[in-house]
Amino acid sequence: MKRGLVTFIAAGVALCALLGAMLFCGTVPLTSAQVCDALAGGTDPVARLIVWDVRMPMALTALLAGMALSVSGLLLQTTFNNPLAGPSILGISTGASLGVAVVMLSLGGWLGAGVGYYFGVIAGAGIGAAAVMALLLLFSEFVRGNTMLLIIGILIGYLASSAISLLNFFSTQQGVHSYVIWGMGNFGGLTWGRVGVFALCTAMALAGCVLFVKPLNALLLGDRYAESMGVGVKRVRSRLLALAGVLVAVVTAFCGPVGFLGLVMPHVARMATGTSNHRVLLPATVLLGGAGSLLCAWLSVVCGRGQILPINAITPVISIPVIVYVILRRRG
Amino acid sequence: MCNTFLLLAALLLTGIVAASCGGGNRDTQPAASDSIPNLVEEARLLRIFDRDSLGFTAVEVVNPWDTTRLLGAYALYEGAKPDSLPSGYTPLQVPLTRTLVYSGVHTGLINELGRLDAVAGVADGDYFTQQPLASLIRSGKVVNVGASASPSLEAIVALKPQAVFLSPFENAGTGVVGEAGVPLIQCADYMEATPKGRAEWVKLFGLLFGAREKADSIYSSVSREYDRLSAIAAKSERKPLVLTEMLTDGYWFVPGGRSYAARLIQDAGGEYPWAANSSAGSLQLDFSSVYARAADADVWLLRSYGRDLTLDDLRSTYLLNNQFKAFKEGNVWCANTAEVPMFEEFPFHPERLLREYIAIFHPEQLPGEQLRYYKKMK
Repeated sequence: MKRGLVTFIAAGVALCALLGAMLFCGTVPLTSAQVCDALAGGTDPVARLIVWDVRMPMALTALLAGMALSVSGLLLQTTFNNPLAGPSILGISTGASLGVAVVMLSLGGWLGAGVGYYFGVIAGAGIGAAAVMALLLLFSEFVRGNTMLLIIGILIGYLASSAISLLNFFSTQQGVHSYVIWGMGNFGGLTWGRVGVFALCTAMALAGCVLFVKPLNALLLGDRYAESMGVGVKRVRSRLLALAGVLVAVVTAFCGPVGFLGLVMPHVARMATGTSNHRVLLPATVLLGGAGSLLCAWLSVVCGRGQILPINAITPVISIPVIVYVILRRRG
Repeated sequence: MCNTFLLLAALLLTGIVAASCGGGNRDTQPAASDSIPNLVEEARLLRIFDRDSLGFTAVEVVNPWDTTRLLGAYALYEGAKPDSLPSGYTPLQVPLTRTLVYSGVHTGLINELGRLDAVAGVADGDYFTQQPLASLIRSGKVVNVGASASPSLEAIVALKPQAVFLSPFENAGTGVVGEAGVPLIQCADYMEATPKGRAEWVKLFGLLFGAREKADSIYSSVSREYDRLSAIAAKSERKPLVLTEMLTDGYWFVPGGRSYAARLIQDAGGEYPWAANSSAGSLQLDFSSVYARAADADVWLLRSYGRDLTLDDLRSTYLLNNQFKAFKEGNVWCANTAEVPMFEEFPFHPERLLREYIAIFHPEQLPGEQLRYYKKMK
């Protein structure tokens, strides 16, 4: 418990520091004095708009996305009892990408300016992710073993990828370009109003996860033990899948597909807290997931030399060493 | 045993590398032009030398990504093939009567030269909207060989074109079409840095399709009109700051300071926020970078495809769009490229787009001008 407490404090401090760093770093060079002045509602309208309306929403988007993806990864890893399970493995992200591909590529990627296009992309991601989730839930009624369900998820992901390839092949260059840009992921596309919607959806799904702490702990001991404790494994599995799916769908809809955080941050939380108890692990994953995502967002700004690097170019660099460490440790 | 394996692996790797390089663009050292004058004035990537005494015209396309090398070299002749064609130059008997053309921009130009009958095939045929070519494609009289990124080699071979017109990309090779044994005309016109430079490529098309005089006349007229309009724009003391494009999925792509688009804005008497930038391509920026430099933009130019955009659309897409001065003053203009032939026309008729820009930036200079492409957003 003491280690858990230290983790919470350290993660909280890191999170606050990174939130602050996100406000002081950006593509436009503002001095610390300018940023402080802007935060206090200063006189320079350009600096005020950049700090309050661009950097702050971006930092909050990164924070929320990291929390949501990391928790979805934790739910999936526990549900499938597989350390390499994650949002992208089960095909949910790919389903969301397929939905967006249909919107962008069937429209030639050129509706790029209309409000219909914007909401079309969000709806496409949501519907795509929901469709894959529905398929997984359907199969979960017939398939008993978690491994088989995991394989079915992977296969659905391949099918969705195949459809995306076809859509790309028959699309215009402009459509493919738009889709590629969306696929890079970004935290900088939301203004305050949309951050509010994003925060509300994420908070509701995360709150839902708290209700499953006990069944998640029971699942760690195996399906039979969980059943002996009165946990309806099939029912719980379906609900956890649905929750994880909602978290991934919301993030993908607002930020594009963001890879690796969902897979890696639960492991970071396990290593930091030294426990598999979800009472500790779930909040630690929330905090560390948010901090990890903020770190990636900050690096995408400071490494870009006046440009913001695609977030998916940063997350693997941070995440892959952790995955390799986890694999080697399990082997050892 | 181990050494043999390593040797085989090295040979295999060398073979793969050689094969992958072999399919790319053929670079040739530029031929010395010496005393023979280059007939091209503005274009940097195209050279034309008349070699009348030897019975051919030499055409050289400079590699835009390494201007010390050539992307293509052609010896154009009429009638019987001359004996003294230079080595390294692809011989082409002109006028061409059966060609495969990838881009709608180039088919439009060929149509303007009155030689659409020489277009036997196109790529990306589903996206051609110009008439009469679109109808010819739908009826199968002009063959669609598939997507330009991966056309059907069988369809190209069956088409038997005398030449394939394609746009080269950096380090992209020519794909399967390079294997078809058909001369490739490397249309690097889109990499020209100036509007007049790109327009001058009409001369190459004139030579290839037997419409040399008409092509020269088109270019002369374009060049004259462009200079006349630039001079009109230069009279205005006021230079409005011009913003282009918009934020899409977190990124804002704007033309680099040395790009064709930036030059057009400046020739029209506009001030371009990134004029000091040295890139000829596009810059990938975020909202902060754009806002810091162009918050006071007087004019905002946009493009859409499918329907006319409104200011509400622009605000709904990204709320902070309403913070730009041009938005607040309602000076935002949009071209719906599904309805107006802007993309098809402006590469070889930049004077039309220049005229449009001047009418938007300096309406007092062209009073009563009816806009061809842009509409003011409401």
